Amino acid sequence: MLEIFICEDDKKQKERITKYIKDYIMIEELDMRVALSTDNPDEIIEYVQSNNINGLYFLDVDLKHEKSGIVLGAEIRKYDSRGSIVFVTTHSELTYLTFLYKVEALDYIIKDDFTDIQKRVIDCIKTANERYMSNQNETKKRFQIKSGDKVISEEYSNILFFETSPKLHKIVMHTDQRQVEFYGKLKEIEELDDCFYRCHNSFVVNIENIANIDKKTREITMENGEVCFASSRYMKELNNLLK
Amino acid sequence: MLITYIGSFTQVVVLCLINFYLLKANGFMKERLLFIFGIASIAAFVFLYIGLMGIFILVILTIAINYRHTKDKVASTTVPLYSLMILVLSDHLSFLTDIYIFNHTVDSVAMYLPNFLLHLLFFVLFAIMFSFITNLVISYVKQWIPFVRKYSMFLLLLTVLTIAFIYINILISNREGFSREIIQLNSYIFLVYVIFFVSILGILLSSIVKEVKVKAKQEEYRQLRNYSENLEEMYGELQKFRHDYINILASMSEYIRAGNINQLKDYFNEKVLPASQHIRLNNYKLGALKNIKVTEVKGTLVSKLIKAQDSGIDISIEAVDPIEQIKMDSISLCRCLGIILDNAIEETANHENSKITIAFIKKEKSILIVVVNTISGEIPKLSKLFKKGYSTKGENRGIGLGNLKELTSSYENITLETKIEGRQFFQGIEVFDRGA
Repeated sequence: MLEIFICEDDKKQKERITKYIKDYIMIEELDMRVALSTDNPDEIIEYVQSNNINGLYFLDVDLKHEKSGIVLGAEIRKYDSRGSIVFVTTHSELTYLTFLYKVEALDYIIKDDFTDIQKRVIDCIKTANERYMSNQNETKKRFQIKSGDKVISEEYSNILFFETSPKLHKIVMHTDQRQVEFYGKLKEIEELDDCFYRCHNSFVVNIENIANIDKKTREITMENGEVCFASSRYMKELNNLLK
Repeated sequence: MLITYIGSFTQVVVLCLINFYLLKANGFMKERLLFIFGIASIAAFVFLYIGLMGIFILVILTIAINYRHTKDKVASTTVPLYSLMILVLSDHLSFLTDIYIFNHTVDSVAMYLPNFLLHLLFFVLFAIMFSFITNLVISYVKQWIPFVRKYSMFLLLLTVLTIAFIYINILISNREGFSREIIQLNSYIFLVYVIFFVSILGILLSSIVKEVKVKAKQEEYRQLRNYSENLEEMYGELQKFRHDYINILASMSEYIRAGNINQLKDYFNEKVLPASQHIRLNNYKLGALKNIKVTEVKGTLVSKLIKAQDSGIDISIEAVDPIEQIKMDSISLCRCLGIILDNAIEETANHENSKITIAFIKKEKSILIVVVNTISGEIPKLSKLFKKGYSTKGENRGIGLGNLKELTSSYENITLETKIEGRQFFQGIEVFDRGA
């Protein structure tokens, strides 16, 4: 079950949002409930700490508490890494990217008189629910690695290859739509799954995404046209693997 | 004959090894080993039939294979010539060691195998030492190398002249016969010349660095002036708004006094609401800059923000936490930001509903800088964007993400992320407080 939390210090606002959520759950008969509606962030932390939770959180950014909503969100992340966090804010200067990257927030809602808060709340519930359902049914294998304090996550099937960066310890992951650097070792990656093959000193290729191999130049062309290299000592086995 | 063969073989192997070591292009192991072995085997015959100048045939072959591997003309040429310089210098220093420390004569080194092997040993040791020193110096000044590019022809010329000087000297000595005095004299001349050469390089590099820094300071000053002008403009608008605000309050209080609630409603909806929307849309986007305490970065941001606003792009910046310092050399950082923002501006200019958002996010152990811009036309291929000199606007326009990668790759504590999601292009630079 998806559990919903609200943290808001304005009593009227809190009741309003709670009512929107409860009404929507009732009408749509969704598999979720409001677990906690409070003005004290510590209560939420306590609850999340002591229960294994998949949550949706509506957090006010400016709480009248030593913790701001953003700090609260970051703490929640430590215990519920897959939960969905939505910020509710009066800030008119948008800080969307900050929410997104600092705590990987799902969305934010601006509480001014021009926004239809009810509609925005419902949108968030819908998205969180979809995400929750797809997480439940997930069968695809994912590559996940922690680098610094960010988590890099990508489906195996999207990954083309990994490449070492000229500086030691840095690896670049290539997908069709993304290139991201992280700290790690190629050796650990090739051991993750059979589809990852160390084809060169500085490359680990996903053999399922290879389009073709030029034996002469030892260039491996991927499904999207991107190219990586194989060294001669791995060529033979690579050819055998692909047969 | 044996001595000539061993000697030329070792010299050419050392030459190639220094060359590949300093060239720093990894891979191609097998091809290179084959190359070294092949070229070293023929070396003795080349020297026998062509004489001293035969070395240049080998150097040209090395240049060719370097170019094949790196596609970089200047580096492919400079590195072998420089390696040759190390080679000659090491050879002469090794002769000096033979003469002064072991009391061997030049002739005994050339004729008697044990003496010759000792000579070779010291020769290799000197060559290794010089290569390591060079490598150390290169890694020390590496972050400045992109700035030196435009002087690369000058560097090449300097190296060629040095080699020419050394070889003219050797040719003349050869005609006179290599006596002890001549080798001693030559060694001193070469040593002085190389010291001279290195000093010139040092002076050149330091003056380039100084120039870059002065330019950056000037730019920063100009940008901060822009910033203060912008603030003044904002202040002026604020004054105007205060005036309007008092007027609005006055008319509202008039409606309230008259108890005319309907007219008050109309007035609010027609006048006050649009006005407040307008305020929100207006240029108060520079506000978040107050949290960016790194002056150089602030300067770059201001100039790019103004550039974007002038071309009618909706650009905004987020910096919730104060950014006190970023653990990256500020000139490189500003160049990176410049490349990213110029690309973003180039992409979004001339299109409707385009938007750029910049965020400085302070995380526990790092600072994350994110730039997001909308993509209007055809969605570009990511791998193409990283190619050197690529830009969506045709050849050699944009500076390309390849340069960005090159700039950040010399830092151990920086990671890049580039992605395309739907019609949005994300570019993130994460600078960790300490190398991980």
